[in-house]
Amino acid sequence: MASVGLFRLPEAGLTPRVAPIGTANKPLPIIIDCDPGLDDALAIACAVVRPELNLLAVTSVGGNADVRHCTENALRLLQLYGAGDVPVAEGAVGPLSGPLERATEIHGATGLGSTTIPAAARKADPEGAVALMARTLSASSEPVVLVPIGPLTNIALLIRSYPHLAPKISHICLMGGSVGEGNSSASAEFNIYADPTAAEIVFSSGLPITMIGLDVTHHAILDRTILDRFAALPGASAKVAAELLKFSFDRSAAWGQGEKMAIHDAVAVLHLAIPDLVGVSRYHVVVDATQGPARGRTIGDANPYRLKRDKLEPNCDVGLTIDSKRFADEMVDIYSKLP
Amino acid sequence: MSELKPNPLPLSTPFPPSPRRAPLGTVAKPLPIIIDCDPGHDDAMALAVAFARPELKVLGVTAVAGNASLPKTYENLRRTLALLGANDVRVAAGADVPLVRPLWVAPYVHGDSGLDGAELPEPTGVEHAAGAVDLIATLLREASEPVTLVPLGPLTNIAILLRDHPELKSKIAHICWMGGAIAEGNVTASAEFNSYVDPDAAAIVFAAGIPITMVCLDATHRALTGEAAMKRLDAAGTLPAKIFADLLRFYAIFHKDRYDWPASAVHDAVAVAHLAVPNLLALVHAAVDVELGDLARGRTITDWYGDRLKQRGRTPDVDVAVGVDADAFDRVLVDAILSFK
Repeated sequence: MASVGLFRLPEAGLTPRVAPIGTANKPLPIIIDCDPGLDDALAIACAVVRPELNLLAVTSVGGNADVRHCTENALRLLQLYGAGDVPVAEGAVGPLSGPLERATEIHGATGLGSTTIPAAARKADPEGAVALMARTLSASSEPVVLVPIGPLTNIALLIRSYPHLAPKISHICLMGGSVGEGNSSASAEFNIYADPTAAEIVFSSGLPITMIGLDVTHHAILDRTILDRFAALPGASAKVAAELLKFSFDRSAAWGQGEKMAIHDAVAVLHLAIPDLVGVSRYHVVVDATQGPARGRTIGDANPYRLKRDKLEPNCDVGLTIDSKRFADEMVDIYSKLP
Repeated sequence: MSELKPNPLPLSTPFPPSPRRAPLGTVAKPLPIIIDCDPGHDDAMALAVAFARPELKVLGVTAVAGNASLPKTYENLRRTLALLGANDVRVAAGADVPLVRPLWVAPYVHGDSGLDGAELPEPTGVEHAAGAVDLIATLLREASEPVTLVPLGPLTNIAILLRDHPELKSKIAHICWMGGAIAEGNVTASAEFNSYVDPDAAAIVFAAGIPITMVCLDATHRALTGEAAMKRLDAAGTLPAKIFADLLRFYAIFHKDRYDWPASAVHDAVAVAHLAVPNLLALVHAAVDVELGDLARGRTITDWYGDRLKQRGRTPDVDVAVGVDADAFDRVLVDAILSFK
């Protein structure tokens, strides 16, 4: 058979990235909005360790698990990683519209598998996620990159509630969506599927966006060989990460999918720290928030003919490729630098 | 089970092929088929394959609005039949607009006539005045065995047939449709032309409970007809070969402009060839939903992930083409054209 698989037209060649890139001399200020979540745990580690990034705040959103668990997980992970001073606030419990979606079958009932991490010595900031993001943006002397790696509920609320702060958002580098196939449905990726209305608000906001979706994150895979490399690291953080990964490998193996895990969320963070890790292409992306079978789909078009015909401009960088081996090496390097 | 596992397959993963469920004609026992089409360059070539292959027995051919308006597709159909010497085949014109939405035609692919690029002989065929749906119903009623329908355009006629004549469903062995796309459409990023033009009809057909094969862009975009085929056609010296070569040259303009490809996807002919040639397509068994909203209008949402299907209470009842033996198809197509003198 000559060729088999899903056919994506070839015009989606790679284009220069639009997302800003941090450097060690001039770290990029970022806010992570997350729903930890196994892969969120690794994403937060990237943000704490990489000198190119300056993690201003972490906010939680209901997604992979209940938001209370996600908040507590964020507090515990930051403390474990030696970043207990990063402000944390709790966000939306559920989507702007539609039913509550959870992924506890993947992440465990509390979001971090069966791992126990020492309880956090502090509580989340009582002002809440959206207010914390707004205050952080206002206080920042330079524009900030938002890195949403869960459902986009908080980000949509921020955009709608504080429109005057839009100039303080230099970029939104999100994990979510897919121009190919989904995972929650054949059409849709989980983070978008969990709140299509919020995603529609974000993608139509006019803010510059990079979409790190399944097209690239399904190639950011760690397998069981990583466990030996993590076991050789001294810190408690690496031990926790190994436990999280092992939980995921065991679950994946039990489902007949092999001992591997796509570390979706970490890709969005690393894209801001490493210039050439992820290959992107310019797309026009619109979110389908209707109730039909394409609900939650990020409809991506890179065909110049159609874009011209429909008078559309590309509005989004879409991640398509990643150096998988380097990704694994970077993850080991990051955990080697954590307590 | 209450818990959903994620789909583990990245976009480019090859699939273990699933067995075909479409019937296959043989020389000893040709498969009775009825073609519903909107010629259209690739429709014309699909007709060449249908009338050339001894494994297929064409009971009738109907026209539908799609690539061009109905008067044009009907005339193009009858001119193509003349070119193929199929003067005594029964023909009829069907729906001139989709069920619900305004007609969208494709002069940017097929030219204003729907079959630009060559001069075809005067129209022929045995006309059935009562129209396409009545002709298909009549042929199904007359048939001694179930018949395979081969729609190569929007599914308007087929949807009306199923609504008007539910009693004839048992006479339909299979529907082998060229249309749909899993990954990326052509009219829009979401949808292939035939499903985009009449998604409501497509939804009716997919929900009818009749076995379906969906020969979609994920397969047809891999079987590109170009230089090698043109050489064989140009060397033949027959009138049909010359006309089809000219049609292919015109058809190639779109593929060059739109995709910068040096060759053309002869979509419709792939669906016909599947009924005559074993092992031409790689298939996946999947459940297909047609999107009726405006944004992803006509998208054929194709789900083969077992655990998700179980959770949704769906069965993978559609054969979806995800691969094609391009060299074999090239031979089938050119051999078919060269068989007409």
